[in-house]
Amino acid sequence: MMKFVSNKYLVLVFRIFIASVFIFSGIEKITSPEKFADAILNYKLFPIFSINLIAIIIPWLELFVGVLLLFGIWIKENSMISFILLILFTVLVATAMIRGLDISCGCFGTKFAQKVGLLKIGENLILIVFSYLVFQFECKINKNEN
Amino acid sequence: MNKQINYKIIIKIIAASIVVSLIYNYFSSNNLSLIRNKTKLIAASDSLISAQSLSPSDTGFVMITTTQAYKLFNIRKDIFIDARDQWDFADGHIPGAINIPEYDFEADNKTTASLDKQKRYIVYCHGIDCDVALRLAKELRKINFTNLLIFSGGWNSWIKAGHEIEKGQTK
Repeated sequence: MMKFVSNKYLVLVFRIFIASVFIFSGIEKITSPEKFADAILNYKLFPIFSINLIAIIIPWLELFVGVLLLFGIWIKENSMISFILLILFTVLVATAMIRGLDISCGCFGTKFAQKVGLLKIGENLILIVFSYLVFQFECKINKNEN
Repeated sequence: MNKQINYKIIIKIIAASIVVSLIYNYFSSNNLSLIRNKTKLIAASDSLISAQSLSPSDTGFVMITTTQAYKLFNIRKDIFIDARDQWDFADGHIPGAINIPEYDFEADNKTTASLDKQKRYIVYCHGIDCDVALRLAKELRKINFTNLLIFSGGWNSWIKAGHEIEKGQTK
């Protein structure tokens, strides 16, 4: 199994997949920052004054991480950022579910609105696993190549 | 995770994202203010809601109670807008209400285009804990619906008060 998931072509597919998701998600939010800010507000977890700053910065961080991962630059560091971001997003969705909030997750802006729920958590968990595999095995591939 | 990770690079990526995002936001046409202010809600007096035409401030919205909402419901001049999703709406809503789900709101949708912007609309969602009515009102104000009231108690307070309800989709 480990041999299969550490296959360099498969890891490349994982990396391109995560990169595409992050680029798409980042651009969607950058184009409609107010809607993303409203989506963050819905979680009722952050102080109101900080909502806009989060809505301005996070999409660009996603875009940077996505583009760098796509071009294979600083893979180890970027896959770690994507791993941490995805864990944070999943915790947010889970806490919203636990508190019974019936809200849009704001994950891909509002044009592709998805409600918080188990499906969203499942999708995030898959991306978390992909990020972990990219982190673990891309580095080994690079080392082997050197 | 691996100990060989270069944390300086991580800090550089985060710092670059912050700098670029702030610069972009500064020059963007749909930029946000860096510090968000709370939207003002103004409690409506009975004379204010009977005046039919409101002139609220740019940032604030006029909020009505369940009693005031029921009074306006019986006068049947104003139109209720339900900001919840279509499934909640179908399960039950204020009779005669129009459903405009906030989560997939688009300024040029059919329902919004068919509404008379001169009329007064009362926007509601689940109750005091939900923000979707307020958010929908903000969106509607952007497309020149200026005569809006927020029924802050929403659906929960409406059914708690035992007022009549209707089920099914918008006719």
